Amino acid sequence: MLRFLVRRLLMTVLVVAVTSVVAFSLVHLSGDPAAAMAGEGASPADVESVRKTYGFDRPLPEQYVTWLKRVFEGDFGRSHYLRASVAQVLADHAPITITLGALAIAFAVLLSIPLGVLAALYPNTLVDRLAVGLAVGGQAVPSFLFALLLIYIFGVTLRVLPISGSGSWAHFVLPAIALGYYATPAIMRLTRSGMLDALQSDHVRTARAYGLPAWRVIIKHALRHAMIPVVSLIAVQLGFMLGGSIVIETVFALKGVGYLAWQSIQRSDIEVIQAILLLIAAAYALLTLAADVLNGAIDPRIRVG
Amino acid sequence: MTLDAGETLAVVGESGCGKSLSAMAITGLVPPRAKLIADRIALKGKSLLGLREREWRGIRGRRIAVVFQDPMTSLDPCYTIEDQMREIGRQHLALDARALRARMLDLLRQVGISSPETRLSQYPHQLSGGLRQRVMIAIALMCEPELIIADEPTTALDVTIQAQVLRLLADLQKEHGFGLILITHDLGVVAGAADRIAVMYAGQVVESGPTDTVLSAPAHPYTEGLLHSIPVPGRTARGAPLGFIPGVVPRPDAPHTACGFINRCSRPVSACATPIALMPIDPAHAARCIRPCLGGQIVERHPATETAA
Ligand SMILES: Nc1ncnc2c1ncn2[C@@H]1O[C@H](COP(=O)(O)OP(=O)(O)O)[C@@H](O)[C@H]1O
Ligand SMILES: [Mg+2]
Repeated sequence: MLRFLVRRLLMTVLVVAVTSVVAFSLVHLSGDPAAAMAGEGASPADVESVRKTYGFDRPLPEQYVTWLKRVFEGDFGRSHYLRASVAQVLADHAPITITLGALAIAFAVLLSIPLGVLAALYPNTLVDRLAVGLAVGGQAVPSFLFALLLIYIFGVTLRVLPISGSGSWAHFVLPAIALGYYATPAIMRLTRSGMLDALQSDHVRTARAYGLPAWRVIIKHALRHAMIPVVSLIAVQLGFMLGGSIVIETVFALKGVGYLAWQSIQRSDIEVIQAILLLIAAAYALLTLAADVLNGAIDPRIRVG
Repeated sequence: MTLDAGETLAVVGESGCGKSLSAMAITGLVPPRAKLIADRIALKGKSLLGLREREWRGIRGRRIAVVFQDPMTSLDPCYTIEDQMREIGRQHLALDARALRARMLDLLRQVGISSPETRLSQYPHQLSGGLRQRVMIAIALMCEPELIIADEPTTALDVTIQAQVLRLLADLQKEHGFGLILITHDLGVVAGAADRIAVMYAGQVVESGPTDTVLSAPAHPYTEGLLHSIPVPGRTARGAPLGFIPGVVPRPDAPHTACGFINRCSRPVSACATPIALMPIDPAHAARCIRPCLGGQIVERHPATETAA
């Protein structure tokens, strides 16, 4: 188990390191950052002075190392637009996105896994069709349209839920459903196919032949196996959500990370963009690690050599 | 197929002829899209047809246990041997935790596992194929079943292990007195191991009878063909080519409009083009053939007088 953990941890560090290079280079290679920051109509002298102040005149590798050093000290730099430390800006925006992402993935999991199991238990029947239909509906409708529909029904017509802002838990219900619904088809389909396989596997036949109750066979001996790829998928989907859904955050006026990223790109707020990219990469890598560890707990063949 | 208490019935036939499916049907378990139709399935005189799920749970694992073909996959890789044995033990036996553990250790010893404590704490993938099959047999013995169905229990094992596992089953049978249905496609293992044989072909029993009779005087041309295709010490001449049966087995789920063996038979006649019933030759011996070989002679029988099954 320890060797398994160490190996996965090293992989995670490697992934974050590589993405940090990519993130850094992307920002610096997509145009002259000094010109962008100085703004339109700035004189060449102004641009030069910005370049000096922010160290953009140094070679890229040197800039990268300097930046990384600061990051390790917890200093992500300052937002030149918001005139605040990047750490502070992120601390203001991240909780909203984390709350939204966690609620959205919880909604997606609670909807799609039972549907996937049900569809696999009654394959090619009406139950299966309905379950697939319900889950795949999430993919057919663009997320902004679905969000607007939710707002129209629950916020405007029924007036039971708030439709914008982040003042209370109730504010997160609609956006979490809108965002989470988008993740249901993939999770549901993977659960369904995994369950179909698992239900036909030899050890499930053994469990049945030894008189174990049907629900125990389904949950203990089939679902557990079906969950292995699903866990990894959920981690990826949650990573995507933590990257912030610009569309959902905009529609529901949630000032989260997605919204911040979008605005910062428009403002050429480079320090903020870099920090967001790095954090998203780290979140992805950590979630993948968490999924691997969870899978190790599910299937001993992964952890016990 | 019938089986007396403590007896061994060997079910033989080529792969794909329906041995597993027919045997599992005894426990009421058929693949999701199959439908179980039978005139009679009974255990000790009590019919098993139309049992409810709850009632089946009192039979499966408890009175009828199965040892499957592939020990690599028939245990759940996610749980230790102890978890899996305990789950089944708890389901059927009213033992407290300590007594159950003692029972598990005892069973593992009975199947010849030397360090049962260690094995209990291990996962299936940490055991060899032979050990896993011994664990399966221990699980089968858990509730002292009246019938054990062993579905090609040695096919997936190394040759050196095969004989050990078969001997183990025979020894355990002597001790515990369970009836054993031994499914195999290997006629070679049958001679010493079984009291009676049922030969299957295309989903049907085509010949059944005492082992010695069927092996020494096969009545059905398929049984005869099978026997000619394996070398027998003392009977098969050195260097002589082995026999084979031309053609392939028809699908067992094809409708039986004629004798299933008609296209591969060495002595077909036009009357073979109707469904043939399993007809008694003597009280213990039966064959599904209208021209069986009896006492070295081909005998003509009349399908019209027999009702097709
Ligand atoms: N009585 C039957 N009726 C319909 N189909 C059958 C029957 N017996 C067997 N089959 C079909 O033949 C296939 C092979 O049967 P199986 O029992 O696995 O053969 P074996 O164990 O002899 O290799 C099964 O999957 C099933 O589709
Ligand atoms: Mg088989």
